Amino acid sequence: MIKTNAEAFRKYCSEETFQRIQPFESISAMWDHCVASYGDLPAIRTAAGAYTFAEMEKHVAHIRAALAAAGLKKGDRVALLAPNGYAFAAASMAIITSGMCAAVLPAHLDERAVFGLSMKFGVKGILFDPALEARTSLAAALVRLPIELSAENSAPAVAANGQDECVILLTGGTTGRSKGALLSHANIMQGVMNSCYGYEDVFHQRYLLVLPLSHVFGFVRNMMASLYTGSEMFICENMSDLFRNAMMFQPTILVVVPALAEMALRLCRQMNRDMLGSQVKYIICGAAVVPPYLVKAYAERGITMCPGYGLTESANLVSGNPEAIKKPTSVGIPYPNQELRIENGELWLKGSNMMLGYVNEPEENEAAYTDGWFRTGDLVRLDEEGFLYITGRTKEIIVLPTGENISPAELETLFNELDVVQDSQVFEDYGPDGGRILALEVVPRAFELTGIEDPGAYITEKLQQVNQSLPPFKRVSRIEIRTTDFERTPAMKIVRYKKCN
Amino acid sequence: MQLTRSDILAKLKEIMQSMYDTPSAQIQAATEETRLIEELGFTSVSYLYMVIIVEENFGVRFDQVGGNQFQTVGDVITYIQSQQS
Repeated sequence: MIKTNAEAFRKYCSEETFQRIQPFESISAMWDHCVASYGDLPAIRTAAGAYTFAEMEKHVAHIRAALAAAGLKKGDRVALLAPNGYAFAAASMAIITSGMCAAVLPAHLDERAVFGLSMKFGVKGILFDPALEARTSLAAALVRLPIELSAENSAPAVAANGQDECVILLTGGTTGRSKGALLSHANIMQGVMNSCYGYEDVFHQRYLLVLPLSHVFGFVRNMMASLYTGSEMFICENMSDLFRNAMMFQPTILVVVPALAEMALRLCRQMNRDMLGSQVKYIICGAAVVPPYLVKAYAERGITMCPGYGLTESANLVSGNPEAIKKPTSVGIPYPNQELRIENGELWLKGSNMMLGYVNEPEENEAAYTDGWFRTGDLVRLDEEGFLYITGRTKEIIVLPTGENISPAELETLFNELDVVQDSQVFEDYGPDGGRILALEVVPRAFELTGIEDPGAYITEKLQQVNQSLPPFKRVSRIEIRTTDFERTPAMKIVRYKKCN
Repeated sequence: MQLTRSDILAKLKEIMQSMYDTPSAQIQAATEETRLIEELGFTSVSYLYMVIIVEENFGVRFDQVGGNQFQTVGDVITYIQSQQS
């Protein structure tokens, strides 16, 4: 078992910055500090205009007054239904600083889903963007309040302590159907602090928000971290304006998923110009595997890509990699106040960032924990320097006839490290004699093969070098180079073959 | 001069192919009836990529990028033609 502290991250920033990363008792206390310390600085900007921390607090206070006038009180759960925008930010802070819990509902949900989740989460009211009023039509029995941005009325913030409920965020991700993860003030505070470690500059940055605020990555790593660090966050409300916004706003930090980072890079090459502005220092990348070639490609453009790993259940980040150039396949160093245990290769977690539990899901809660440890379902290893690597998912394991277990993702990571490989899949198949074999299919990177006389032979040789470096039971018996891409799911993950029973 | 639907289709296929390093059989075989999500595996990211390059190439503007806006390749062609006229 490992218990972490912040020491491993001290060397990445100045002592002054390191000491500045301090927790508050609650997100309410954090917001009080932000308003007091950063009042006249811009907090949120959209295409329509910018709001300072002080101006935002006036809007937050007005919404607090509206919540109180509607009969909602400390400890109540209030659903929040709003698309990415300033109204979402103000409304979420209003609910939280009223001592209530914000049950964040993705803005694309229809009225049945809004009603269903509202019932499931036991909310007393719904705070909604006026444009989405129709989606609340089935929840007529609840207090329904449109978000109003005004400075007319105000109500003071309500104190909270670390164990109070702060936010419910949906997760489904790799573990199946959607569930609401209930996160406390202390959970979110740790998630926010984790967002600050590993960077030379983290205070007073410029964030461009492109991820949904209803996802933990957007909510914690982007919005909450931006507010905590006195940074300015531009909310991109129309995705087709993303790159126009970037050129105008000149962000210093982007928080994206690998597919978006890859797309931005491809566009830079296609258009032969810088699409992200000239000031980007860091690209924080997570929610899916970050390919090593992406880290290298961005480094060549002077941008440090920082892969990370985490879950909704862990208030976003568990680990972050400030040395991705040296260790491009690692998800980094575990953040402070985390406890890690590796059981049969699977990562179990405890810590001040770990959720209070799934809302109204007794069977899921029973299944997710052992002795108070949250079982992630992710297979991991730690290297001698304490860097974490994801080697697969427990559900993807191939059990060989010899009884040995193979994690296809672990082997694919090794093959994917070759510059000539775009993507790969390791899978079980039947060999010529009817017995089960391990096979490999690879999609080559055409870019890296220009000028090579016999590309097929070249790639095969490279793949065999990797293959032969593996222990015999992990080696693949058949290698095939594809001429087209793999079949993919809507989320761009490879549809895995199931050729053997 | 307004482009024909078949000219736009050819250019769209080039744009969609530029998302990948390897030739995609599905994109090569695409027609106006081909469905973006179900047959070409479009995600919100690939959709956004297409929109940005289409804006640049055809001089049009997409007001709001939403995953459900266009079902088929033909829907995109219709939109481009409507913006160009």
